[in-house]
Amino acid sequence: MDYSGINAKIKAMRGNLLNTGDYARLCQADSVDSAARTLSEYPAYRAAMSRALNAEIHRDIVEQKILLSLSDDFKRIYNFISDFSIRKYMNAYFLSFELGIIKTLLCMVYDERDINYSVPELNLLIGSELRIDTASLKASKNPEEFIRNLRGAGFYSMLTDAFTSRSSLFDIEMQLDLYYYMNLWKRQRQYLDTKNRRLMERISGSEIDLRNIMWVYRLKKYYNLDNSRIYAYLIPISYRLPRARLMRMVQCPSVDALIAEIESSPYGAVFDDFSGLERSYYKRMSKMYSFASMTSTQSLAYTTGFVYLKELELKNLISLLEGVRYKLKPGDIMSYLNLPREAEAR
Amino acid sequence: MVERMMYINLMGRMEDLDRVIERYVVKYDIQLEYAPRDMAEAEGLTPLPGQNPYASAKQKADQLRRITGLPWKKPGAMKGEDAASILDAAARAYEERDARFKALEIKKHSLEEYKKSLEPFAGLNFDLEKLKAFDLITCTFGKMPVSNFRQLEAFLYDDPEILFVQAERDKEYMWGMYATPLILKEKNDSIFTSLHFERINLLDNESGETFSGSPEQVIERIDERLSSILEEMNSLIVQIHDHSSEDYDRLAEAAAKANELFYVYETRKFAMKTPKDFFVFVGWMAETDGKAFQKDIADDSGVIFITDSDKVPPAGLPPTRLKNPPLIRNFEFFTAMYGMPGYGELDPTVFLAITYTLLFGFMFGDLGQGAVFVLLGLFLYKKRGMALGAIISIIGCSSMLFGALYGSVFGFEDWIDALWRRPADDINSTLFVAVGIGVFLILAAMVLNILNSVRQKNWGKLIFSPNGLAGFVFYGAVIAIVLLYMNGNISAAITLGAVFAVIPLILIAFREPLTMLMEKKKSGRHESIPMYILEIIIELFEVLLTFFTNTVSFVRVGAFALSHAGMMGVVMLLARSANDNSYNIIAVILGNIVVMALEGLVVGIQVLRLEFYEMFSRFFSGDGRAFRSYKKAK
Repeated sequence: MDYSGINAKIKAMRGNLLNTGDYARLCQADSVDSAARTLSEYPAYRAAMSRALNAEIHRDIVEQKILLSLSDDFKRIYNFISDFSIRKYMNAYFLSFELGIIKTLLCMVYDERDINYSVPELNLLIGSELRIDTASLKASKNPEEFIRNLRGAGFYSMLTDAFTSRSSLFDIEMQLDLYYYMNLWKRQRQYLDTKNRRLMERISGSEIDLRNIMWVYRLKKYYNLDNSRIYAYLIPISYRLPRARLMRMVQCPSVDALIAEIESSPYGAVFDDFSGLERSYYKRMSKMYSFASMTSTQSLAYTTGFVYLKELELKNLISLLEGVRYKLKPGDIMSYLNLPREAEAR
Repeated sequence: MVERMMYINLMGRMEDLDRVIERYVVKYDIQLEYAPRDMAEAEGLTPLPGQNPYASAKQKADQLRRITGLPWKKPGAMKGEDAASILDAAARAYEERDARFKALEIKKHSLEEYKKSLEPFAGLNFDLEKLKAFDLITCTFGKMPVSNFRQLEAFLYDDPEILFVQAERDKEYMWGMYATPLILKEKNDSIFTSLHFERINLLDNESGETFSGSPEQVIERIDERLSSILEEMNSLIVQIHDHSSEDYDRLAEAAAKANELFYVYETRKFAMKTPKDFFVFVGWMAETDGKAFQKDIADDSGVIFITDSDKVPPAGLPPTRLKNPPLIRNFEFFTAMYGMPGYGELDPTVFLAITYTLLFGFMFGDLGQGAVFVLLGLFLYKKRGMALGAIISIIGCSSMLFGALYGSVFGFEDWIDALWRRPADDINSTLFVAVGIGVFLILAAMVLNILNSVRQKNWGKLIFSPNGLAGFVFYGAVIAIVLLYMNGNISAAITLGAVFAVIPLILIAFREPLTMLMEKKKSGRHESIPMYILEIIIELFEVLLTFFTNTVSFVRVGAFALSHAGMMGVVMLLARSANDNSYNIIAVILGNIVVMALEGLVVGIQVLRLEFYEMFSRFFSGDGRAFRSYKKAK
């Protein structure tokens, strides 16, 4: 496959990503409404925001509608790819976003709120490979029904087994993560050529290692959980972090011992500040994607890098809108955002 | 013919009741009636109390008959109590067998479930019973999603506190067992729960039976048990349907006896009790049966037979029982379809039988197809007992007769010479003959109406009705006029018209006041004169129109005679090969079948329609009620 065509397309799309100046401008908004109006001036969000602005502006709605912009982008990228194997891989890659949507929907159902996406919107958001009947999914009244209506998705059977009336949202989210990473790992071995595979394995392998470390830290620090039970929340894949080391982290008797263990691991350099794990995580991931995009132009890296940046942008926008809603100072809002180096350069 | 009926009263002492019922009432064709209220009140009659004591025995007999297909038998000399106890025992035996069967079914189901849950573990080679016996270690069987198993495999396999034994796996699940020291059970159970391990209980099952050995051996043993259970179930089924034994014969006899006793007792419901401890039955019998009954009963001092055939009995008009010679009897089916003749009315069956047969033949004349109808009808009548079969046979004969007259065999018009004429040779005269037949039949129907009026002593209807003398003269005159006019005899036609057509028409028009006058009754009408005139004009118009349409209606008789030749002509055209003049035998046969089915059905219905509309409506009211023999009713 020749990547010059798709890279040119991605280059154009990257041009539409927000830069630091744009974020600073959005932070100045005095209400969600005006932030949404400002956002609608950017080409990437024009279509999505026009849908939100017609309705009464509510932070939830704006958040929900901006997500549509990534699905839109992905669909355009997907249609540009003609290679069957790459398409299969991209589906697995993009599943993390789709599962994110499903988690959001499930959260609405757990809170007994109505799912306020329309059926066509749902089809766009979770319509890639998951053969889900979105109309009945939208009509679900409780978690049981919701999960039953996921029939058709690859993770359906493992979810129905995991689900009992006592299952928490957390349990289900963890089970979905497990599925996502196992599936991604399998597919990148199955469908990618050596070069792409090595590239993507480095990124997703590190992601899995980092994720496992973060969860061990969180579970140990915030949840009083038996050591052996922590394993149920870890992804059984190890890339640069040997399994024995991960298990040693789990078995650490205290958080301090754990921090020492992490610092001596191959990822020791990633976490400079344990109060902001996520910030360190995104910093590292951004760096990896940007390095891959720069060094391997004839690969998927530029494409997946865009999807990553867009996802990160959406995450930032959601934090930003939240800040605006709670009337935080623009400077404070900016400090909550995870801005990749590319955003400053633009 | 409508049979003459007699109204009977049967009286006797209460203690003779059962004997009378058994010996006489259920033996003869009697239509038992509930005693009319005024008679019951006048003579202080009271109904007999009591529940039918054979109800439960009969219910059991019916049930057994339904389950086992117990045949109907003639009740023998068996005693009532014996029959009841045989039925009781049989019913109980069936219930026990049924209960046993259901229990086996439940057991089979639970064993199958157990087997299903064992199957994924068939590869594990250890004794399940022994696992249960461990004191310090517990074993838990179950399945988990494969991705969760990966977690277990990655992180917990080396844990000395947990031993996981893999069994079967598929794309989604891993089956297996984990063993853990009893003191750590709680902790490890919670780990496995968080890994979404779903427990399957292999050490106990719901069948209440225990099996020892490895899962594979247990499965084998369950299979053995299952096959023995199936065998037992099969043998129970065989027992239920086993009709060979002597007991079964006796059971059939008992069932028949219970049935008989039940109906004998049911008969008591018709009996009334007089204040002096006598019972009374009232009902209708055919006169011939009644006479025989009277003779039979004459020597029996316990019963009094009273008949009252002259006086109109209090129970209303007598029911109608038709009695016709054997061949004609089959057509009673059609008569009953229209309505039973009232008592004292002419039975139209003979008229119907003759006209139906001839009209059908006229409209569907084919020697070969007629013969097929004869055979088909005989088959239906003899093998299936269908009354319609006999009719089909008879009309088939007529079809053969007319087929010979028309020279038509299976649509081949050139095999034999026509004895009379081919309908299609001269279409006009065929239609003319048909209308001629129609005129004759309409006149005949009016004659029958006149006879009926005489029998019913309804003089107004006899003279003034459009179907009475006036109508007959009018219609006859009109037909005569038409014939004379066609022969150019116009002056005679005018004279005839003035006298024989106009006068009857006036009589028909004013039939109501004239009838009143004749019967010396006062007119019940209070309408204005113009309204009355208008009504008369409309009615008269309708009468004339009916005469006209009824007559024209018979054109169809000729039309169908023509259409038969036409349809068969099409079949022959299709069947004939273009090269030589040979026929395709299959096409001929298929064509014949289609024409027979289609035309036979249509002609059969059309003739019935002619009978009912054009003829029956002129003379037959059909408002009688059918005689229902109590003997046959049960």
